[in-house]
Amino acid sequence: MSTNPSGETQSCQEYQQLNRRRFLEVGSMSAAASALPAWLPEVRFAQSQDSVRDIVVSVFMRGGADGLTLVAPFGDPAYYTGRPTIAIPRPDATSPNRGTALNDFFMLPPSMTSLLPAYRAGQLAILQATGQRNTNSRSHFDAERFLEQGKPDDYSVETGWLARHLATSTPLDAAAPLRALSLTFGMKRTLLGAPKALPIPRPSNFSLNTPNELALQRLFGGAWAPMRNAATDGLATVNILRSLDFDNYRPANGALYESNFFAQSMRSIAVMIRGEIGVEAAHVDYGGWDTHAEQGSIGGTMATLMTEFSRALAAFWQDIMQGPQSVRITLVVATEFGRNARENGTQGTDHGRAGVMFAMGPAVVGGRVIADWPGLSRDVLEDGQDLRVTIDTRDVLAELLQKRLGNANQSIVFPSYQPRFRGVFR
Amino acid sequence: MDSSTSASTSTSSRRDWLRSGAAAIGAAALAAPLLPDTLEAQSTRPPNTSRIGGLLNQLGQQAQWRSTELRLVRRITQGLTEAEVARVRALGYDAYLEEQLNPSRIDDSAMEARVQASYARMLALTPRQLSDTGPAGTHFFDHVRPRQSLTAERAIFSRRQLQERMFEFWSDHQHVLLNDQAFFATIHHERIIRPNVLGTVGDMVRAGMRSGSMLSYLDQVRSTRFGINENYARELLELHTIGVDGGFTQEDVIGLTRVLTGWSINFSTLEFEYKAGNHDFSAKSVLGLSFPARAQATAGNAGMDEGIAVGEMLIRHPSTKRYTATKLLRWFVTPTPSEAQVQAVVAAYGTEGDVKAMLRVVLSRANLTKAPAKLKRPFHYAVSTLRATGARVNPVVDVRRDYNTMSFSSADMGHDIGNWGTPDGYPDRADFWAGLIVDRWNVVNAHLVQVDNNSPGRAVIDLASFVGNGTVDAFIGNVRRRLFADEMSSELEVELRYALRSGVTNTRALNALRLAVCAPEFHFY
Repeated sequence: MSTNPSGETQSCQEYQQLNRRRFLEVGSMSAAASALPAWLPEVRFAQSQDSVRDIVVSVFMRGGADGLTLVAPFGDPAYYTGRPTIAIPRPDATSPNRGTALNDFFMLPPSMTSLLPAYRAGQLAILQATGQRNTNSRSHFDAERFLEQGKPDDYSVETGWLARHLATSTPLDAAAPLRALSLTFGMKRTLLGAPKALPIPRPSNFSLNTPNELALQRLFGGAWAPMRNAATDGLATVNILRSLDFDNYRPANGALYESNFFAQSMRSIAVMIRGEIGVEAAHVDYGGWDTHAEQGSIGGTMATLMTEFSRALAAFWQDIMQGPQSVRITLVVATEFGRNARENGTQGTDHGRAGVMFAMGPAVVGGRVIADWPGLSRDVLEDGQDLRVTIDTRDVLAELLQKRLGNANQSIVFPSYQPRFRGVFR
Repeated sequence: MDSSTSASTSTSSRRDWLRSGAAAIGAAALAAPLLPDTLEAQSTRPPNTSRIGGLLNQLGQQAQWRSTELRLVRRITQGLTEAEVARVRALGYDAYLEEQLNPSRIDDSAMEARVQASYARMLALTPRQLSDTGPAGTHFFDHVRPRQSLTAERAIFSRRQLQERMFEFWSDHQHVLLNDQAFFATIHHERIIRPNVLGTVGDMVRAGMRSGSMLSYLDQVRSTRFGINENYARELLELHTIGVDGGFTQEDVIGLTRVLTGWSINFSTLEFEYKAGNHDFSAKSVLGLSFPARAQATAGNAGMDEGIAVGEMLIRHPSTKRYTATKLLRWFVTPTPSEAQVQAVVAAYGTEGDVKAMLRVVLSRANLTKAPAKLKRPFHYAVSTLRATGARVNPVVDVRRDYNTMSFSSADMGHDIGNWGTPDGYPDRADFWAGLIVDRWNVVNAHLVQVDNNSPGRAVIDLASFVGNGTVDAFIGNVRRRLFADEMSSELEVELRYALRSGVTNTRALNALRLAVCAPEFHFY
């Protein structure tokens, strides 16, 4: 071990450079050990006190959200020729359904305009033609898996990218019973294997009703690790969530969360963040984007989804990321794939390739649509049908990992990949 | 705890309900769980470096499982009961399995009477009649709730238990979203799935291709030569037959989409109907099967032969055999079946996919003896609790208001019967479900283990049958026998004795019973 000129950091380095075997032996990390893949070379722990660490919120749009509607490329003529019935009218059209231009090429449809304040404040960045480069899977289940696990085309990976970040970083709060949660019924792959993480679909309602608490603690203390951790962490989490007043929480800056499940999830995350209970990562799903038929980009199914979606994110931005009480936090949105350039025979779209990502927060270099636009004419489409992927989702997530999460373990969190940062984050 | 998933849905719109269900979409159904690496490591690691707290790891969950017959009962029922235990002891492993593989040999008249009493009218209706039941907007209470209730009730009370396990397996495999399909799901479950659960893969695939509900759910009925939609064709390949790695390409998906144009429903009767006028008669190919261009027909079954031929090819496809065999092994035996295990089941497939023959191989003594304990999914956990405790369930009076323990309890633990948001069905992965432990404890205490409750829909235990003569030994003996078939851990016994250290009262007995149900080992089978 080489001596560092400043001397005092040598023990820090030794601590940080644990190999896998030592990692497994460190008792308190035993849960975290299972998050690490067998090919783990060396872990360099992100120390909470000497690196930047935002709270991270991961939002997953399930079903393959149509990026060509979410952030429509009105500047590409093939957008209109390929989508005669479902394209959003141009910003300069007279139709009341026209989009709002973000620049001279991309626009937001009417039902996404709730995101304009965050965009214009420079805290929302949009990435177009984004997707998964090293797989061309159009299977929901595979594409979701590959994205969430941070490695395409590999069925041996059993953990999520965010889980591996948490496993390779010391907790922001060493005493926190819960570092991360998935606001879903069952643990989503993004957080699978994360230490001190639970699926809690309704944090505002996570209580315990049993006189057998102590006996169960003892019994589960000897149980199979995932259940033991769920029991132990669950009990501790119940106690700490009980201390938060979800019902009477007043969002800052006049933000208003609607009553739907997604908006309420965002609200719960805000409450937990404000409560400073040690939660440093949250994952939320928003499903229903698999619009094969009667997509309804205007006034229909997708419009309703986009309205709810954008309003919930806007409320969260207003509440948590604004003003003097803003928090060090970054939110990212991804989807497993986008959808076809051309509409199908049922006024919808089928599974495609590139879609859209969003990044939102005070540290985002926002107010722009970042795109390496490959075009929508048939000759440049992948398989003659789909927008090509020119930005990999890992390019964005890896930049987030390094710059906002202070975690240098790229090769563990996004193995076998050399990310190309796009300047999304400060 | 807000256990009123039911209450919230009765006032929100169908779309909102759908959305919150759709939010529970998960990853691949065939993903191996987190566990195996850790498990193998635990089994070879010396005791003093094992997990804190001792040896009750997942392997240890079955440290007290000695009997192979009981392992069989745990795996092929929705929860062991004294009656099933007695049956397997009377018949022996092979004869008991054979009996369960042939449900018509099992007298299920009590279950049939229950079905007649509550569901006979619904089950006798045609698709159109079902669709017309009740004014618009009541389908949730007319169809969704009863379907969930019937599914749970059969799992709890039927003596044809393997048939119910296989129904659960196949209804996940060819899953339709209940909230979306409502009355149509009844047709799908009763006419397409149920008759074939212990039949052949071939019949299941053929039936599925003619399921009005499936064709409607996955947009097939709208996919025509005037405008195609690839949703169903993709899932037919990826989920119902050859699997995501079965060797198909995007071109095959498009080809199959065009092959299947015309496969639709009659919009009056809502029965399956092939519409030649919607069929694309141009040349196409799917997985090496080529169809030449032909003249457009507008009547009869011209062109239907293409879909039939592809169906037959898929049924016999090596990937379908493998995919089915692997899924059955995962359902009954282990999350990581060996190549040898898979091949043995594939060998039993034959040309048609003989489910019984495959199950005899899947459920061999050799397989079950070394099978790691499996985590019950919430539905299974709820059902097994009601079965083991011998609960009776009060009939529901007001379907809009009463808490129907049989089905709501499962939903409150994250497993809303029939409402997994995507066509791949609920995951059967321990790492997906393991985190929801607190939810299970809450539901046990609030709903599943109850006494003196005459409210409609509520479960009621005969606590006196557990208390017996009032001694601690009697109570523990009853718990050990009825919940665990006499294979209960000493750790749990210690806790039960401690809970009853001041003697058995009704309150203490009830809490002790809840403790036994909540204990780690009751979550496994």
